[in-house]
Amino acid sequence: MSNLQPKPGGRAGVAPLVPLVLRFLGLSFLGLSWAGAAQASGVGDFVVESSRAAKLNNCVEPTEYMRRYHMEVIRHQRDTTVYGGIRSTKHSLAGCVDCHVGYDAQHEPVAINAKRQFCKRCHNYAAVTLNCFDCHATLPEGEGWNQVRLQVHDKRHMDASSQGHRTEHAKATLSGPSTAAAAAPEGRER
Amino acid sequence: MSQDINQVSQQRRRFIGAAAGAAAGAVAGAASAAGVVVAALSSSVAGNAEAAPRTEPVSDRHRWGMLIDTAKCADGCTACVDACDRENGLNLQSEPLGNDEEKWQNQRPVWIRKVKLQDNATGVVTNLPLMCQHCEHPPCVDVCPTGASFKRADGIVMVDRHTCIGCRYCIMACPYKARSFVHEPVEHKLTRAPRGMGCVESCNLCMHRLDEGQTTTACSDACAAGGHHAILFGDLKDPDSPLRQAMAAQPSRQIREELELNTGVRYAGL
Ligand code: HEC
Ligand code: HEC
Ligand code: HEC
Repeated sequence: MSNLQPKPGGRAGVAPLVPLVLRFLGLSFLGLSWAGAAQASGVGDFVVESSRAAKLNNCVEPTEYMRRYHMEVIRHQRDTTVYGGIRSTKHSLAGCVDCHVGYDAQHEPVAINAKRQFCKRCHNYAAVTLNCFDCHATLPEGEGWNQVRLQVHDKRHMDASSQGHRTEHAKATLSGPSTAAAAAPEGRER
Repeated sequence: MSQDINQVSQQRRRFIGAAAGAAAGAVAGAASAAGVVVAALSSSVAGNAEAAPRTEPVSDRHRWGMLIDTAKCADGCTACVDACDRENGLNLQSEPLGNDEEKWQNQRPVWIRKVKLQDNATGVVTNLPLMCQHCEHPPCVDVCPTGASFKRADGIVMVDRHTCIGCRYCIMACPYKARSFVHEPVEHKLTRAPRGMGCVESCNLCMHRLDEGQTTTACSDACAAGGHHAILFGDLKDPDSPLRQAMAAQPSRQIREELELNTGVRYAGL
């Protein structure tokens, strides 16, 4: 529960946003605080075990911030991409899917909006309905939009096919290209 | 800058009907006058703009366009259409069960259509691919009630599907029949090409490629791979670009140029 309370010190930068976001979140925000506490004991507990995110320590922004403001982050990135043509992976929806998508026993990705998968599980608790995935891919596929991401993706598929075992596969991605991918978007931001 | 490009078309329009050679000369003249400023503007960014994914918002330093040489466009060839379908996930759409095949073929979103023209007097047949012409003054943008239909700074006319309400005014306004409406839910989509029921879409010059620093489109690549080289993609504002050189070397025209939309896609041999 305490995890979900704003920390006065660290929040200075986003203070002007808070009233707006609170109004935006409304009741469901409070709902989440309870439900989240009841279901997931700590921040980060919604992360799916088999996803790439499960092997990393950090989200693209501090986890608590992401938990509360991810919709703002995504929306900002949306306009940056659609109008500005900037396709950085750091805040992109495609990036969320790529890192947070879970894999089944056959190493096949599971749709991120499927039941009990990352986005859906929490949104169910918070009673949030998204239409984003009517259009947006729920699996990482056909990501020609970023060279770095493309390389990581190709490499990962090669790793997966050469070493059948999932934990092996996960380790390989963690030590190799995925850490590079986690760092790369940072480097590209202005 | 757009003024200068406009001038090109207006200059040459005055020459329509005159000898092709004379007209081409006028185009080249106007083009190189425009070029001096462009070169000065673009030199500072030339380095990073082409090589890596974009880190700064698109600007009007470039205006993307195409020259399509109808003489090289082969009858019966659909390489560009197929490549476009694959690149933009259009081939992933599945026909709704129980739908009328003909109706589906008419409604299915497509970004490029192969068009065959026949001059009844002479019997001469011309083939050409027709897609969004990326007008400088796009009628689809004028009529859009939400501002979803817009022209990106680099001249790409597109739809922000987050604000598109699916009213389809733009489809009616487009003189080229370039836009499609997605009538059915889409099961399978690519990360680079989101698509869902209820929005309008059309050719975006493979902007995902441009944004990551490539300067080709799927259709022009496929056309070249097929040995035809009928589609040349490039920067209309760069006087040294192969596109502008090709435009200077032969007469070309805009389809429906009387509308003065100053299209970014031009056709030779028409
Ligand atoms: C490079 C991998 C990566 C990317 C990309 C990424 N995340 Fe995360 N995300 C993580 C990790 C790792 C955690 C868990 C951090 C922790 O345990 O503190 C996390 C945690 C979260 C949480 C908190 C979950 C919880 O259980 O409290 C949310 C919400 C979240 N991410 C949303 C997003 C969204 C939205 C995007 C896209 C803008 C995104 N993430 C992109 C790696 C990533
Ligand atoms: C009607 C279809 C449609 C719907 C619904 C939709 N989008 Fe999009 N979205 C698109 C298209 C098309 C693009 C442009 C893709 C490109 O240029 O790569 C896009 C791009 C984006 C981008 C930038 C690309 C990326 O992966 O980061 C973000 C962020 C985004 N949308 C967020 C959202 C969110 C959040 C929602 C739900 C609230 C949503 N979209 C709903 C069609 C849609
Ligand atoms: C830790 C819980 C949690 C997780 C995990 C989570 N969300 Fe959310 N999401 C929320 C809450 C709470 C809201 C706010 C609902 C509101 O404002 O009514 C929300 C709202 C959103 C919105 C805005 C919806 C709207 O209608 O404006 C988007 C977009 C969104 N989430 C995307 C995602 C995506 C994509 C993922 C997976 C990568 C994700 N979220 C994962 C809790 C979560």
